[in-house]
Amino acid sequence: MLTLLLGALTLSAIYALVGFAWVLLRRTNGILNLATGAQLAIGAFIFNQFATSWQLPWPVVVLGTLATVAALGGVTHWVVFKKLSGQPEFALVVATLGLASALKGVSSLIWGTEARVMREPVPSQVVTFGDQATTTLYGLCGLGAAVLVFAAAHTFFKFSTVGIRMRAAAENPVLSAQGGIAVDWVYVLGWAMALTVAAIAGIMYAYQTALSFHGVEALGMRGLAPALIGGLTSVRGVIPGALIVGLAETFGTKVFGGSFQDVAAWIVILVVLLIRPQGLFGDKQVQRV
Amino acid sequence: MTTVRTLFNTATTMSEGGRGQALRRIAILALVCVLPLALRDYQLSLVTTALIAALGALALTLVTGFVGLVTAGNSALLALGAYGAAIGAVQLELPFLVVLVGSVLVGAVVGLLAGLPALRVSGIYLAIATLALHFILIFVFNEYQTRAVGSAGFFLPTASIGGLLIDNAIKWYAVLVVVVLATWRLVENLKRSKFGRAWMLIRDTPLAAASQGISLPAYKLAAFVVSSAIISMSGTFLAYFQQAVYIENFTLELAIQYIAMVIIGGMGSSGGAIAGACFVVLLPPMLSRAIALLPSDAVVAGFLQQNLGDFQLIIYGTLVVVFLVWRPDGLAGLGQRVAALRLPSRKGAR
Amino acid sequence: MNGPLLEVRSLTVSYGGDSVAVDGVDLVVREGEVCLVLGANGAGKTSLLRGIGGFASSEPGRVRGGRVTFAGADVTGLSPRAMARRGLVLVPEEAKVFASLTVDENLRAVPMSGGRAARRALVDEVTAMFPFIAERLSLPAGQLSGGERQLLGIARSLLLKPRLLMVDEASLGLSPIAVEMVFDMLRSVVASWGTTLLVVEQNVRAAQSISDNAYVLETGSVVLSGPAGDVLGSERVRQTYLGLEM
Ligand SMILES: Nc1ncnc2c1ncn2[C@@H]1O[C@H](COP(=O)(O)OP(=O)(O)OP(=O)(O)O)[C@@H](O)[C@H]1O
Ligand SMILES: [Mg+2]
Repeated sequence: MLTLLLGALTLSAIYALVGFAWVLLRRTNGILNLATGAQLAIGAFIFNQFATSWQLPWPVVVLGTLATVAALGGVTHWVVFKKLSGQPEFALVVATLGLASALKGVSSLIWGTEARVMREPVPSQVVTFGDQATTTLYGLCGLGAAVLVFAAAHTFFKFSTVGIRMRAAAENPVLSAQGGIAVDWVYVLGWAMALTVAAIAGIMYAYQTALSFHGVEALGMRGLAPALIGGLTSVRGVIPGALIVGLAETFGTKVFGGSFQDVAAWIVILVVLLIRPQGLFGDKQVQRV
Repeated sequence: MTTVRTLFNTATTMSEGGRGQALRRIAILALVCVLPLALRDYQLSLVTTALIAALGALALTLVTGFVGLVTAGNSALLALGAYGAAIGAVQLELPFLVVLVGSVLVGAVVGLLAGLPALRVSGIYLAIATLALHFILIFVFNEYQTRAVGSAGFFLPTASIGGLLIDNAIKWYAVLVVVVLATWRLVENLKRSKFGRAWMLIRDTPLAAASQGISLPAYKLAAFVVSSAIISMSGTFLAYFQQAVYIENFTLELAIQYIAMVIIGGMGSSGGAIAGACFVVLLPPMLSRAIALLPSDAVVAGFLQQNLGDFQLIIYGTLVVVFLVWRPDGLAGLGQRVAALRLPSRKGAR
Repeated sequence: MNGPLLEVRSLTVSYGGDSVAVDGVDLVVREGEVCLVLGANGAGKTSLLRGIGGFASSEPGRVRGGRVTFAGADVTGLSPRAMARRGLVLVPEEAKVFASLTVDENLRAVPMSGGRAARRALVDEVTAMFPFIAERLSLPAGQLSGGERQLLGIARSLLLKPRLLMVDEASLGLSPIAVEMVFDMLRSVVASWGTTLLVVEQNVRAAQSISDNAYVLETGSVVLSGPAGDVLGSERVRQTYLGLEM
C-alpha cells in the first residue's frame, strides 16, 4: 500500500513537470500547445543523443541538451508563432497540431520508433523505506527534479526582473510593449522554459520506464490533465492536479489493469470538463466567449 | 499579409456569379464521368479513398472553417463509424444501410456528449474534450477488438444496397461520388442558411454575435454534432470499402491529417476541403511514384521509400503551419488568385 | 519657441475593413509644450494616440497612411516598444498598470536605461513624486484605487525618461479631487523635467490650466486647433464640451 502511494507520488512529480510545461506556455504565450507530447519526446531523444549515442561527459550532456532545447524554443517562436500573432486562437492551436505531426516525423526519421535504454549516470536501484515501502532511485530523482523546478520557477517569477517582466507580458502584452518590454523575447523565453521543463519530464520518465517516442509523447499529452485541473494558467494549481492524476492513474491501473494507464488522465479531463471546466484550483475568472 | 480574419471577411461577402457557378457544375460533372473511364481500378480506388476523406474534410470545414473551433476528435469519430460498422455488420449482421444510418445517429450522439461540456466554456475547450474523446474511444475500441477478434481486427462483408452488391471499384466510386456531392450540397446550404450566417458571425465577432442574442454554445454545438455525424458516417464507408477494421489505423496523426486537408484546402471553403482531401490522400502514392522514377540504385531513393510515412507526417505538419502563416485561404484562395489573373474581366465585375 | 518634437502628417488609422478611426490628422507638438486633444466619445482620440505610439502586431489596428516624425526621425508604424525606447511613451486609456503584479513589481518591470546607480536615483526621484507608492509597495496593483492606478501608470512611464509623454484620459473615472491630484502631478513633471505632454482629456476644465495648444477631433478629423485659450474659449467647444449655453 505504501509502495503504491510512493509510486503515485513519484508519478505525480512527473505529471507536475509536464503540467508545468502546458501551463507556462498557455499563460505566458497564450497558446494551448498540443505539441507538448511530441516536444517532451524530442527533448528526451536529444538528451539521449548526447548521453547514449555520443557518450559525452555528463556536464556536456546537460548543457548541450539545454542549449539545443532552448534554441528549438527560439526557432519555434520566431519561425512559426510570431508570424501567427494576431490570428484567432484556434489558428494557433491548429499550428501546434501541425508542429506535433512534423516533430513526430522528424523524430521517427532520426531516431526510429523502437524503445531504447538510456545511459545511466548511476545504476538504477530499488530504495526501501521502513519495512516494505519501496521505490526506485530514478523515481526519487524525478521527485527531486520536480521540487527543484517548482522552487526555481517560484523564485524566478517572484524575485527576478526577467521573471516579473514575463508575468507582466503574460497579463497584458500590449501594455508591456508600450512599457518598453521586449515581448518577443519573453515569448522565446516562454518556449525555451516550457521545452526545457518538458524535456526534464521526458528524461525522468524515460529513466523510469524506457525511451520510446510513443510512450513519452502519450505521457506529454496526458499532462494536459493536471494543467486543466489547475485551470490551465495557474502554476500552483498544477501540483494538486498532478497529485489527483497520479493517484487516479496508479490506483486505476491497480483496479482495472495496466492498459488503464492510457486513459486514466483523459477520464479525469472529461470529469473536470463536466463539473468545473475552469479548473478546480485555477483563478476564478473564465472567459465565456 | 492576409490574416485569417480578413480572409474570412472576404470569403463571407464574396458571392459567385450565376454563370460561373453553372460552368463549374458542368466541369465537375464532366470530371466525375471521365475519371472512371480514364483510370485503372487501383487508381480509381485511390480516388474513392480520397472521396471518403473528402466527407470527413467537409464535415471538419463546418466546425473549423465556419465556426472557428479546433477538434482533435476526427480520428476517434472515424473509428466510431468503423467499429460501429464492425459491430453492426459482423456481430449483429445488420444490412449496410441500417448500419450507415446507425453510425450517423451514434456519431451525432457522441458529438453531443463530447461537445456539450466543452462548449459551455470557450472554444479551445473543444480541442481538449475531443483529445480526451480520442484517447478514450481508441482505448475502448482496442479493448473491444482484443477481446472480440484479436489484434488482426475485423473483416467486413461486402456492402450491398437493396440486394445490389457494391463489389468493385466503379460501384464504390459511383456511390461515393453521390454521397460526397450530396454532403457538399448540404454543407453549402448550411453555410447560406441562418445557421451558417450565425456560425460565421460567431467566428469573426463573437461579441457581436452574443449581443444579437445568438446562443453561442448552442450554435457551436449544432455545428459539432452535424460534423461528428458526417465523420462517423465516413468511418463506416471506410470500413466497408476496405472490408477491414483495425485499431492501428486510427491515430492522432490521422486526426491531424484531416485538419491538414481543411487548412491546405482553405478554411471555410467546402470546395477547398475536397481539394485538400484529394491532395492529402493522393500525396503518398504520388510521392511513391516520383521516388520510383529516381535511379533505383540511388541510396536516396531507398531511404525515401523506406521512410515515406515519416516524410508524410513532416510534410502534412509543415504544410499546415506554412499555409496558416502564408496562405490561410489555402488552395481555394490560390485557385481564386489564378482565376482572377486569367480572367481579369471578372475581377473588374466584382 | 522650440522646434517641433512630434510632427504628424495626414495620419490614418484603421481597425480593418473600410472604415477609418483616424482620417488624415495633422498635428504638431513642440518641445516642452502641453498639447490637449479633445473630442466626443468615439471621435478617434485614443486611436490617434495609438497610431502615433504604434500598434503591436497582435492588434487589429494599423496605421494606414501618413507620417509620424519624432525628434527629426521618421517613426511611422514602429512597434510600441521601439517608440518607448525612443522616448515616445504612451500611458494607455484602459489598463495602465499590471493588476496581478504588486506596485513594486510594476515599477521593476520597466526596463530602464542607464547604470545601476542612475536607475536607483531615478526610481527614488519618481517615488518621491508619488508618496502613496512607498506605502503600498507590496500591494497588488489591482487593489489600488482608480486614481492611484492612474498615478502608478504615469510613474511607470516616467521611469522610461520620456521626451514626449502621451496620456490617454488621465482623469478616467476619477473624482474631481483625484483629477486635481493627477493634473498637479503632470504639471510638476512638466515643470521639473521639461517633458513634453500630449494628453487626451474629457475633463476640459482640469486640462485647461496646463495646456498650451489644443486640437478638437470629430469623427477622426481635426475640426479645430490652435492655442488652448482660443480653442477652449470658442463657442463650439464651450457648447459641446463644457455644456455652456451662450
Ligand atoms: N479595437 C478596435 N477595433 C475596432 N474598432 C475600434 C477599435 N478601437 C476603436 N475602434 C473604433 O474607432 C473609432 C474611434 O475610437 P476611439 O477609441 O479612438 O475613440 P475615442 O475618441 O478615444 O473615444 P472615447 O472618448 O470613448 O475614448 C470608434 O468608431 C471605434 O468604434
Ligand atoms: Mg478613448
